[in-house]
Amino acid sequence: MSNWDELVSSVTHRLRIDPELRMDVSRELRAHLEDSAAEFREAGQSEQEAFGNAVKAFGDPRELSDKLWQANKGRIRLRGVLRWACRATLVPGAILVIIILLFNMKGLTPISWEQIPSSLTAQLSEEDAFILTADAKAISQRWPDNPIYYGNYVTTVLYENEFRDQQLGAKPEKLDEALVLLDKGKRIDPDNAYYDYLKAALLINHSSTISDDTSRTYEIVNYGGEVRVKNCWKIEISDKTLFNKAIQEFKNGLTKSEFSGGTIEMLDLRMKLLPEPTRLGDQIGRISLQVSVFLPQVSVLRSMVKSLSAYAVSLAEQGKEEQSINIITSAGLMSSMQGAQADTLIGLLVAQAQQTAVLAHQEQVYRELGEKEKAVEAKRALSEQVSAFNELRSGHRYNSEQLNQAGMLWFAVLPSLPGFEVDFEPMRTAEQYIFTEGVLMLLLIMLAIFSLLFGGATLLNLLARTEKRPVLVFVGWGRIAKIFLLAILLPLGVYAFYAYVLTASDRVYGLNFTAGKTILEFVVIMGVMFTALFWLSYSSIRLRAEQIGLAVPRTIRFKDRWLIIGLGTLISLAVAIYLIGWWIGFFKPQEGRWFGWWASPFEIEDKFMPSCTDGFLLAIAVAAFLICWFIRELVGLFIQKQYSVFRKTFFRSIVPIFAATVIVIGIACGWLLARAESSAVRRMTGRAEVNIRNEVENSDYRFLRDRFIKQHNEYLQEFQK
Amino acid sequence: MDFSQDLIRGSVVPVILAMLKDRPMYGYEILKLVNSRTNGQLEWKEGTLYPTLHRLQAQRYITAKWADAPSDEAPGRKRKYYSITRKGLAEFTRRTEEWSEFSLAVNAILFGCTS
Repeated sequence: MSNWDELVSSVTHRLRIDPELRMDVSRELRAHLEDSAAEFREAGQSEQEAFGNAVKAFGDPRELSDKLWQANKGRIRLRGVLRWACRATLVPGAILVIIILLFNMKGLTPISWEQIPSSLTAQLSEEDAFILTADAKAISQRWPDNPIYYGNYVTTVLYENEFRDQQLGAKPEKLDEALVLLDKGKRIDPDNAYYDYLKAALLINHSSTISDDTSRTYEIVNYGGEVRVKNCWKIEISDKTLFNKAIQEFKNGLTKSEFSGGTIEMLDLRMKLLPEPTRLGDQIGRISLQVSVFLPQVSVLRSMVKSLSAYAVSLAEQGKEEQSINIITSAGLMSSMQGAQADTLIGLLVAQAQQTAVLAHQEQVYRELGEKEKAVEAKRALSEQVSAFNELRSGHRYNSEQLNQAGMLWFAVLPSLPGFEVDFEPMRTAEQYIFTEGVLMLLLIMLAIFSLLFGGATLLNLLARTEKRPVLVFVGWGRIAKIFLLAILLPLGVYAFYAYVLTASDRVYGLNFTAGKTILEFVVIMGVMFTALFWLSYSSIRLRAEQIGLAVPRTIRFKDRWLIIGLGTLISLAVAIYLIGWWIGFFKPQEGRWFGWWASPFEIEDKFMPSCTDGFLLAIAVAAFLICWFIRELVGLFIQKQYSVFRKTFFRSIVPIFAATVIVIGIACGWLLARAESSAVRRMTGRAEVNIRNEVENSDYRFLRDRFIKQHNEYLQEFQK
Repeated sequence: MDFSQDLIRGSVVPVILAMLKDRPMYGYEILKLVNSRTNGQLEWKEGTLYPTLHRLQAQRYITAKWADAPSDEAPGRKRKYYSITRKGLAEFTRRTEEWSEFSLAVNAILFGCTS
């Protein structure tokens, strides 16, 4: 330390509680002494004399020290309070903003009714809240005579592991208990054939077994035109008494007009109690709740139809004509009733499978009974049943240009819903906003992680209590405004202009088509914002550090970074050409698919070409370039040991800038995006909504249901004869 | 003639604001200029100048900015230049008027001047 340093150090000693201010004042006084000494030297004095006279002209150090303290103490207190306020609020505030945004983005998203949050039931009456959240047994016990609640309970409990058996429908030791439950159902809901059929199905499963009958086959032409030969079933009855009891239960069911397992009706009741969805997560939650509804009767009843069909063939083989025809017709009556009353796609598809089996075995029954004409008629009916279904599947579908506008969810759902005329816009827009929110969260989390890393490194440095302690520098309000303007507002403004004025972000297309390009756009905007924020903060902190006398690295010049800048220019050029190509339509693919060749979940048409992959690959190139550049600059800072204090000062001082950025962007953009997403979700009604209750009604499958209704009436007429 | 410390102290703020109203200056330059313009009669010390500059900066009458010194004077060195703000200019005008009226009033008593 030179004598000037000692003098300046003693003069500024009282300012030590504000290291940045002390360093700033010290540098100013040192510059003053240097100017003073230079003038003495110019007057012809020696170095020694000039130094002595400069010190002498400086005046009384104690008086100056006291006056400097008096002049600056107000500022020091204010800066101290501001520093503590920043420490206490910025980083925790940033983390809080991220948590709130993540929580809000999530929406409802429960996977079961038991997980519904209490906030959703707060506005409901005690009874409604109970219906919404309680388990099926508790609801049924509270209202024991309600047929919907009881049906829902029976369906649910028979599906639970305690009762359920994959092959038999119910475990042998639980059969009696299951039958008691079903008998009670018959008393509560006497017009509902569900309990009779289910009881018959369980009894049949426990009194007989079915297996492939390779001697009897039938042909099915599938959707692709391929002819498949399938085996009929044969039945082996092990307990004749129980089996006959099952047949009696089955026949009891045939006399009833209704068929309901209670679960779908229960779903309707519960969905009405849920608040209107306001986020995409709420919608997805609703879909997952609908999907979780048990439809166990479909597999048990399907198994029963197989057994009944095989039993009819067996009776025909024994020459019991009337009984045989009665059983197969009854099975057809039951299947067609299921199809006619199907209010879900899965219910309708199971009815179709059952009816196919019934008609195939009907042909065998008539053939066995020697009634060739009726056998041919049954075969034709089977062929018609199958081709009616195939026609639906190959009927009206969206072409790829229309599918490009579908968005992810509809693009995934539509292939299984021919003829479903959808208003894609609300779901597509909501997906785009939720994707944008996800990207925003990624940027915020990235900034928060860097804040925590730099903050942690600073804490370690401070705890180490070395002489070269980092300083928390304030770069000035002007520079902070410049950072926010250039690194945040300007890129966001440019993107808004690009997306909404030039409409170059192609939001009329869904993410299923534009995913690659959209990812590229977001990587670019995130990269620009992060780089600008980091770079402008670095420049400002470097300048301030230099002003207060810290050794700082020299400013980066073009010739120092020619390779990185050259590579960056090439990548930027490629990105610009790609995005301009999309904008003017030159590169816009005429056909598209989700994420290109490596992750396409559906092949709707053979013509689909990998087009989004280019954007995705470019996005990877941009991200890789920025990460490499960032690492190179950080490593450069670590290598240059002479600038270690500056490096620590930089890490310490950038934390509040990053944290403040998270708070500002998080609150402003998060709020705007959430509002836009909510607005899109509120538009998801009618043709824009997907649920298991409208998938038959809104698609061409309604024609199949109409066919079942007609078929059921024909069976009824035949049965009444 | 040496002025009393009370008089010097009372004139520091308007003098600094007057110096800075034309162009930005650094501390040593202000000190030199005041001393030369008054033929050393005011003879400010650093203990007078810098605390006042810092107080004026805290009051937002002036702002400070580090900049390179002219290469023909002190090549490669940086100096802290002070500039007057709009608030500082208003304060300078107020102080000038105050000084004018004050000196007239004191002159009236001391020398019997009425205008």
